Amino acid sequence: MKTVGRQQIIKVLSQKGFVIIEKKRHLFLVFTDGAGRQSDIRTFLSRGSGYNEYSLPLLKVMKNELRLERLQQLEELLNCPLSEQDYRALLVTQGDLT
Amino acid sequence: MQQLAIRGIYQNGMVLLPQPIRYKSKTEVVLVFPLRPDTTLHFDRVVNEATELRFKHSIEAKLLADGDILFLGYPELGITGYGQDLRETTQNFQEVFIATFEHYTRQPDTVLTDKAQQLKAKLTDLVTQYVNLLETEL
Repeated sequence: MKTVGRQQIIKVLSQKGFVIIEKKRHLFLVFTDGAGRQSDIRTFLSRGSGYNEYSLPLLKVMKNELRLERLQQLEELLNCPLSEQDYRALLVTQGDLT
Repeated sequence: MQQLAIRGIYQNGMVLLPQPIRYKSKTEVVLVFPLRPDTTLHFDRVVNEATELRFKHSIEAKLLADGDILFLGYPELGITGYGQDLRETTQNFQEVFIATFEHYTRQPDTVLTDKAQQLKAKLTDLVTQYVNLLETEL
């Protein structure tokens, strides 16, 4: 995983249980549980033109924010094999979501 | 010790080289400082153009570099800011902090998970004063 486009991140995460909160300089994506409650698991995307592509250092931070242990899991989340249900189950298993 | 390019800004925790190395980046001249692995920045408030949050006590945010990106993190609340220089990074950190505070503290507990409620409680406990700078200016 070298870079991922910001638009792809937004599109995929919004389809996988994240709600998007728009701020002036950021997009704030918050994961919801099965009942639609907002969790503390969230990530921020900068709207700046310098962040149209998310590079590896930024993806590492996103991985941690989304409570994933490996970059491969983030790749699977962003490239679709890891579904919303699979991701939610993973967070429950880790104790990050009830 | 990590080498880090900071655009002309010196902060506590950085070791200023007696003769800073100057080199041409793609866009501008930068100064190079070594960055200690344990470099931290302290905040007793965070500010953006519209809001100031004053804290009960100073918080210690950890500064680190990965590639050409600087990160400033406060793991206790899961808040991380980033940027391509220290000014952008500290500004981004403060923006993210304020956005996190405003978002969670404005939600009723019923729409938050247990851990999100705990995050909201920690944020509420830390912030003693919320100042709307736009109203103050009027």
